Amino acid sequence: MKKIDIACIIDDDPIFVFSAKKIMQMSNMCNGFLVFHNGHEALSNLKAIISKDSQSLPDVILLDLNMPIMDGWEFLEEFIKIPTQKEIIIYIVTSSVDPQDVIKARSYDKVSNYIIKPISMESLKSLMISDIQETEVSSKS
Amino acid sequence: MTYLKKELYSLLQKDIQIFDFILKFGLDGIIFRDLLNEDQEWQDLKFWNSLGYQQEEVSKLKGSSKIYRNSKVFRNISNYSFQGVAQTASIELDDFEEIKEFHHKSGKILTFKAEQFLIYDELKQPIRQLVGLKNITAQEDLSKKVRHYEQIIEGTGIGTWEWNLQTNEVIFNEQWANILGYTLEEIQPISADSWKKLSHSEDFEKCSKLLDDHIEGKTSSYESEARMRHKNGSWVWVLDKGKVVSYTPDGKAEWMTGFHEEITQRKKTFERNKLFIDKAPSALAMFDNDMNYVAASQRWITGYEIENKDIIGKCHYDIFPNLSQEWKDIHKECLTGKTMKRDEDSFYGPDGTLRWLSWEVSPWYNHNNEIGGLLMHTSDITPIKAAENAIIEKQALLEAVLNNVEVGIVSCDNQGNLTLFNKATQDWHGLPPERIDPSQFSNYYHLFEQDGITPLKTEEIPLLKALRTGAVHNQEMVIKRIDGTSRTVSSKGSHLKDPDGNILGAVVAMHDISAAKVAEDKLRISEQTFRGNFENAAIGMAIVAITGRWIEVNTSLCNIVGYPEEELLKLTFQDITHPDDLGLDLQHLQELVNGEISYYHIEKRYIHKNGEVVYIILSVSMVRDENGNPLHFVSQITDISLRKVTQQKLQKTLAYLESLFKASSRVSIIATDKSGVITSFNRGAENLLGYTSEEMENKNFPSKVHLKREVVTRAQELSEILGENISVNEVFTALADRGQFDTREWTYVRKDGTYFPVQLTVTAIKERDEIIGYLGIGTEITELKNAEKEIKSLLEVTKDQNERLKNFAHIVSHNLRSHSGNFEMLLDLYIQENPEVKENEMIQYLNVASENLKETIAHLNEVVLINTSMKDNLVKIDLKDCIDKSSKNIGAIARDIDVKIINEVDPAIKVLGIPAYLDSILLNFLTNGVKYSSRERDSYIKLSTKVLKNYVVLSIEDNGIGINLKKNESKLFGMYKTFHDNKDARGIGLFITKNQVEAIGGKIEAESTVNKGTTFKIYFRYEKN
Repeated sequence: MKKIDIACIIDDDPIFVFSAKKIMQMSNMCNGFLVFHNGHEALSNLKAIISKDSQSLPDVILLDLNMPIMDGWEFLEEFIKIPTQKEIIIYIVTSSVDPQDVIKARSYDKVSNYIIKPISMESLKSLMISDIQETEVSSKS
Repeated sequence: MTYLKKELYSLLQKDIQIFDFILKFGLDGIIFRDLLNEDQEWQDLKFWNSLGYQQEEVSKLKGSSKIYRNSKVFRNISNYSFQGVAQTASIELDDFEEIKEFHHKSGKILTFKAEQFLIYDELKQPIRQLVGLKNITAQEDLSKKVRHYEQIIEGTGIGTWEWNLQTNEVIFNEQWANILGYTLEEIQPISADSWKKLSHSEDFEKCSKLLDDHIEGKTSSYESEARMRHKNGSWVWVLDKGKVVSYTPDGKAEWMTGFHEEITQRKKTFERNKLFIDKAPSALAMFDNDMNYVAASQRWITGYEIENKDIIGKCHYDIFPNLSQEWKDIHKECLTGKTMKRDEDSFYGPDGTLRWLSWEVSPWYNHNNEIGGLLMHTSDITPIKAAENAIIEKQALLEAVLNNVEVGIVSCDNQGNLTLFNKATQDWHGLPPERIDPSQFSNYYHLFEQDGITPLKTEEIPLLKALRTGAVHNQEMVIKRIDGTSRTVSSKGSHLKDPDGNILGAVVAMHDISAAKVAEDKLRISEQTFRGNFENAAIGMAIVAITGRWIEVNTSLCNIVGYPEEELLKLTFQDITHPDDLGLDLQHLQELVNGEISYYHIEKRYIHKNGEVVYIILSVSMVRDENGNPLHFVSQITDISLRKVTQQKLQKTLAYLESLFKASSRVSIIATDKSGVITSFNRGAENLLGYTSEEMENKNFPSKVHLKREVVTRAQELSEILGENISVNEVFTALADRGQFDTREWTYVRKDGTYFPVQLTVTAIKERDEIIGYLGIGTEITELKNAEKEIKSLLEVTKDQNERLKNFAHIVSHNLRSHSGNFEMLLDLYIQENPEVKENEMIQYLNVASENLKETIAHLNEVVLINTSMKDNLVKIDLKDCIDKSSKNIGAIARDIDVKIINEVDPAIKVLGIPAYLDSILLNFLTNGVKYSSRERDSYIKLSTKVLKNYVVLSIEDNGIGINLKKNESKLFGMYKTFHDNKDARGIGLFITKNQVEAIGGKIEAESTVNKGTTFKIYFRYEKN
C-alpha cells in the first residue's frame, strides 16, 4: 500500500482531531497531517498551497460538516471549484445521521464516501485501501 | 153391209139428188150408213183408195176402227145432223160440214170434208145417211198450216197487221187487239188511224219515220219499238216489225204485213236493267253501236264528273273529247264481239288528275242476238290504288318497324320451319345476315334457362312451345352468343291462325329484359334494403290503417311498446295511447285526412304492455290512393323516455337550482353574460354586498364590488402564469375561458364601502361547449379567514416549535453522538496504547457505558428520524418478498434456535410503506419471535395476510413464551419498557417498530397468551385497485 503522503483533517472538534491523528499514526497510514478547524481556514490555506505548489496538496481530506464560520458544505462548494491536477480523496466524516446529509454528500462526486463518527482503525484502513487503489488506477490511465 | 150397197144403188136410180150429191161431194169416197144399225156402214172402193188401200186389203180392214180417227164422230154427226135436218126440213145441203180425218195406209192423216145426205122414211125419220167424202188433205194441210200459223200467232200473242199502202186498208188480228187489252170487235172500225190513236205520240213519229224509210226502200225491213195505250190506260211496249210483201204492177208498195210483239215486260226489264245500271254502285255505262249512251249509272256520271246528267243518247266521244285513241280502238274491237278488260289502268280525269281504274268492256246482245252495243264497267280504283299504296307503305312501315324495334320476333309455320326472324333476333342470336340452315344455329348461340347456366331443353324453346301449346307467357331465358355476350329475354308467344281458326304456325316476341333484370335485382335489393330498413330501423316504424289499426309494424316499435308483433297488429294506436294525449293526436289525424296538413309531429305517451308510460315523439304522414282518397298513415316513433326522464330531472334540477339561487341568502351568486355584464344578482349577493339586484343586473360589472388593487395584482399574476397579457377585465374570466375554474380569495367591497373577505369561484356557463356567460359564487369567509389566521398562527407556532424540536433533537443527537463517538474513540485508543488496562474492570465498564450511550443515542436518533419523515413518501412494497428477505437475514439465528418461519403471505399483496421501515419492522418481529420462542415445543413463526376494506392486516403468529398482556399491555410499545428478563431485551424495539408502523400510516395490535404464543397484527395501508 502506497502510503498517503499528507492527510488533511478539517474538523472543529479537537478531541476528534486528536483521536483521528492517533489512529492514523498508529496504523502508519500517512506521513504528514494538515489540520484545519473550520472550512474557511481550510479553504484559504489549501488555496495557498495550490497556487504555490500543488504537489503539496493532501491526498486525503477528512471533512467534518458542522463547523463554525464555514461548514463542510460551504467548503466543499468552494473547493471543488478550484482546478487541481491532483486527485484528492475526500471523506465526509460526521456524526450526522441525517439521511438528507447522506444524499447531499452523494451529489458531490468528488466525495468518495460518507463516514459516520466514530471512526475505527479497521474501517478507515479498509476504506482507504480501496480508494487509494482506485486513484492509482485512474491516475495511471 | 152389202145390203147397203144394193140399197144405195137402188136409191141412186130413184133419186137423182143422190147422184148429184155423190158427184159433188163424194168423189173421194162414200160411206153409207144405216142409222138404225150403228155398226152397219158401207164404204166405196174409192174411199179405200184414197186411204191408200187396194181392194184386196179392204176386207181385212173392215171393222177396224183404225181407219177412223174420230169414229164416234159419226154418232155426233147423226145427232147434229138431225137437228140440222129438223131445222131445214129438207134434204138439202145444209151447213153441215164435217171434217173427218182418216189414217192413210202410210199413217199420214188425211182430211176429208164430209157431206151428208139423209134418207128418211115415211115417218120422216132419218134412217140412212150417205156421207160423201172429199179429200181436202192438201187444202186441209194448207188450211191446217194456216190454222197452225194462226194458232202459233195466237199462242205467241203476236198481233199481226196488214196494211194496204194504196188503199190504207188495215187488218188486225185478234191478238193485235188483245195486246192492247181490247177484243178485235172493240176497236172496230179499224183503220190506219186506229194505230195512230193508240200509239204514244213520240213513238208514233219515230215509227212513222222508220216506216217511211222502209217503204221508200231505204231499209230492208221495218222495225221499231213503240208504246201503245192499253185499254186500262197504261202504256204497253210493242215491238213493231214489218215488211212490204207485195207491190203494185207499177212497182209501188202495196201490201205490208207485220206484227206487234208485246215487249212491255222486256222493255220493263230493259228499263229495269237501265235503272239497275243507273243505280249501279259502280260506274257502268251501256252504249249502242254508235257509242251513244243507252244507259249509265249515276256513279258513272258522278265519277267522271259529267256535268250534264242527261247523257242518254249522247255520244261517248262527245262527253269525253279527250279520250285517247287507245280507248277508241278498244271500243271498236269490242264492238266486234270481243270482251276486254284490264285490272289496272291509269287515265287523266276531266280535271286532269291522275286516276286509276279497272275496266271491262264487253258487247251486249239484243233480242235478236246481235251486238246492240257495248257495256262498259269501270271501277275507279284510285282509292284502292291509294289503299294499295297505303298497304304497301304500311307493309314497308311494318317491315321497318319489325327490323328496327328492339323486340326479337320469330315465327314459324305449323311444321316448325322458321318463316321470319327480324333484325333484333338476328343480332341477339349473333346470326349472320344470310339465311343459314337451322342446324347451324348452335354455331352461333346457345340458349339457357333463367339462371344462365342450365341449357334450355329443345321443347322449352319458346317458338316450339308456342307452336305446341299455343301460348307462351313471360318465359325468361338467356341467349349467349358465341362471342360471349349474353342477354336475358322474356318471351311471349301464340298460335298464328287463319280466319277459320286453323293453325298456320306460331309467333314469338322476345323482350330484352337484361336491363330490366338488373333493375329488377336492384329493385329487389332496394326493396330488401327498404324492408331491411323498415324491419331493422332503430326507430319504430309502422303503417297504420285509417281506422287506427296497425297494419305493419317493425321490431323497434314492438320493443318500444312491449307488445309482440302478432298482438300489436290486433290493436289500434288508440288502444295504447295515453288517454290524455289521445285528443290532440286524433285532432291532428283529422287535419291530415282533410288535407289541411301534410304531416305532423307530436310528443305523446303510449302505455307499455307492462303498464308503464313510454314517452315518444310521433311523426305521421299520410299516403293517398290514385283518387286522392286516404289510403293509410305512415308513422315513425322515437322513444324519448330516457330523454323525457332526463328532461324531467333537468327541470327538477333547474327548479331546484333556481330555488337555491333565490333562497341562498348567505351565498352570493352573480352571473354575467359573455361580455361580463351582470345578468343575475341573487339574494345572497344582495345581502352580502348591500346592492339590490335592480341596481346591479344589466348595468354593472362584477369588478364593481372588488378592490381595484387586488384585481390589478391578479392581472399581473395571471399574465405571468399564462404567458399572455391579461387585462384587468379578463382577470375573473381568464381561467374560465381556458377551461379551468378559478377559486380564489378576494375582498368584496360593500355598497357602504366596508370590506369583507370572500371566497369566489368563477366558472364558465356553457351551452354546448360554447361559453355564454360566467358564474361567480362567493361565500363570505370572514369567519373562516379569521379561523384561518388563527390556525395559521397556530401552525406557525407549531411549525416553529416543531422546527425547534427538530433542531433540538437533531442537534442533541448530533452533538451527543459526537461526544459519544469521541468517547468511544478515545477509549479505544487508550486501550490500544495501553493493552494492559483491558483487564481493568473499570475500563470494561467504561466500555459498556460507552456502548450503552452510543446505543441510546442511536435509538433516540431513530425516533427523531421517524417523526420527522413524511408520510407521503410511501411506495408500494411487495410484502411477501420483503418477508422472505428478512427471513433470510435472520435465517442463521432461526436455524440455531430451530424456529421455523412460515410465510403464508399472498404474493399479490402490495402494501404502502417505506421500504427501510418495513425491513426494520419485519426484522424486529422476526427477531423477537426467534428470541422469545419456547424451548418446550417445535417453534414456528407464521406470517399471513388478510385484506380488509382499508388495510391489509399482516398477522405474525408465534408459539413462543407469550406476553402477559394483562400486566404489560400499556408498557408493550412503550419506550424503554421491558417485561422479560431476556438479557437482549432493550425495551426500545417495539417502540420503534410502532413508531415506524404509524409513520407509514398503519397500526399495531397484539394478542398473546403466556406460554402459548403471541400474535402481532400489523395494519398496513394499501393501494386499492
